[in-house]
Amino acid sequence: MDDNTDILSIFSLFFRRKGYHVITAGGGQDCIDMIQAYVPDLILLDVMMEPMDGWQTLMNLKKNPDSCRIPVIMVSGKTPTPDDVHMYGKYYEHFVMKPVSFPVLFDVVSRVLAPPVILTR
Amino acid sequence: MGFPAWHSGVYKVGVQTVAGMNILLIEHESVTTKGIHAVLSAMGYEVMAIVDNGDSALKIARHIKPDLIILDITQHDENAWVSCAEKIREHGEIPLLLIASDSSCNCSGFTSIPHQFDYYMLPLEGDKLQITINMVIKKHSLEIRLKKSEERYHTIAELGEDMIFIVNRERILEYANSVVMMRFGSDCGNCVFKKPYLEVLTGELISSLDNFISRVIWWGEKIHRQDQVRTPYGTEWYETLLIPMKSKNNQVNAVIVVSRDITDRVLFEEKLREKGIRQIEKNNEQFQILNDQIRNPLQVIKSIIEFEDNPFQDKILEQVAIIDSIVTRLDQGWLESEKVRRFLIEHYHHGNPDCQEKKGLLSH
Repeated sequence: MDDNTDILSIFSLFFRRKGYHVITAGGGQDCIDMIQAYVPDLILLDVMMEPMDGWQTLMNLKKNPDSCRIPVIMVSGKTPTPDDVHMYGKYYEHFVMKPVSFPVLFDVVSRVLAPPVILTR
Repeated sequence: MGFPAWHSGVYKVGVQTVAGMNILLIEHESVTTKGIHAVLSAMGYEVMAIVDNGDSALKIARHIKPDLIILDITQHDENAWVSCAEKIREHGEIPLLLIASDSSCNCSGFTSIPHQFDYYMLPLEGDKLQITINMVIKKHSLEIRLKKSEERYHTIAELGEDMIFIVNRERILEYANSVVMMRFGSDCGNCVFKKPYLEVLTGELISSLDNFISRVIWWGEKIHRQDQVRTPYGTEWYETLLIPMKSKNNQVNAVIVVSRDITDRVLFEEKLREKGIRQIEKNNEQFQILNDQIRNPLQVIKSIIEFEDNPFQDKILEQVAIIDSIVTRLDQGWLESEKVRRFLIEHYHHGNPDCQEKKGLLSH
C-alpha cells in the first residue's frame, strides 16, 4: 500500500515477476476496506500518507480481528523516531527504508513469510 | 495689628564694610534691636540693612543676598512676626534667627517656635549669640543640601513608571512615589511616616513582597525577584528589586522597593516563544514530508534501473546512493529537531496539539 502510484506500479511488477499475487491500495482506508473482501498473507505499508497515515492504518489493521494476524512490513522514506519504534514496533514485522533495492526487499519479504523454525533438542 | 506706619519699607541701610557675614535685621526700633545691632557689629558681622517687615526684607534680600536674617520679635505684634517669619521660611533661601525674650513666651504663637524656627533667647551675650548664628547658618546650609538632595532623588524616583516605596525597620512607610499613589490611592502619601506600610499598601503583590522585605532587613542583601499576581483585570507580572539602606554600623534602617510591571514583556515573550515553537514544529513537519518526497522518486529510479540492463546502471545507482545519504543526514537533523521540539513541549507546555493527539492514538 502506497499513495505514490509509480511506487505501487513498480513494486507490483517486481513481486508479480517473482510469482506473488499482488493487490494494491492507494490509501489507508482503501486498504482497510479491501481487507473485508480479501485477506493477504503480507502487507507492505507506506508511512507518509494522507489523510490516514501508515501508523494509523497499522493500528486499525491490528484492532480488526480479521486482519490482526497479517504480518506487516513498513516501507517509508521517513526515518522512524525512537517514539515511533517504541509505540508501533511491536505491531510490525520489519521496517524498510526507501530507496530499497529489490534483492534486499525480496529477502526481507521471504524471511517474514517463512514458517517459524521450531527449535528442538 | 501690624507695624507702625512710619516703619513701612526700608528704614535704614547699613554702610558698614567690616569683613564678615552679611546680616539683614528686621526690627522695631527697640532698644533691644539697637543692642543686637551693636553686638553684631562688634563681632564683625555686617548689618547690611534694617527693615521693619517680611515683604521688604525679602525684596531687599534679593539685592543684597544676606547670609542671615534676624527677626526681633520682642516688640512685634504676634500676628505680624509669625506672618513675617513664615514668609521668610517659605522663601527658603536665607536662614532665619528669631530674637525672643521672656515676654515672647507668653504669646500663643511662641509655642510653635521650638519646632518651626531657630531662636535666641535674650539677654544678649556675644559668644552665645555668635554660636547660635553659626549654628543656624550651618543648619540652614545642611537643610539646603538635604533639600536639593531630596529634590534630586524625588526627580529620579518620578522619572520612570516603576513603583518605588521605602519601608523602615518598624515596617512604617517612609516614602511612596506618584506611581505607588496612583495604584494604591493618593491617601498613602499622607500616611508616610505614620502608618505600617501593610495598612496602606495592599494586594497580592505586597503580601508576597512582605516576606522578602523582612529578609532584606534581616540579612542586609538585596533581592531581585519576579512575581505573578492575580488581579481583577487578569494575571500581572512584576519584577522587583529590594535594596537595603544601611547605616554606618551596617544596620539596615530601611528597604527601598522598586517594582516594575512587566506584564506586557512577559506576554510578548510568551507569544514569541509559542510562535517560535510552532515554527519549529512546522519546519519539522515540512522536513518529514520533504524526506519522503525525495525518497519516493529515488525508489522509482532505483527500481527501474535494477529492472533493466543499462550501461550506466552502476553510475546511476551511485548517484541515487549519494542523494540518499544527503537525505539521511537531513533525517538525523530532523531527529535532533524532534528532540528539541519535545523538550520545548515538555518544559514550556507549547506544541501542536494535533501532533500530540496523533501520537497518543496508540496509548489507549
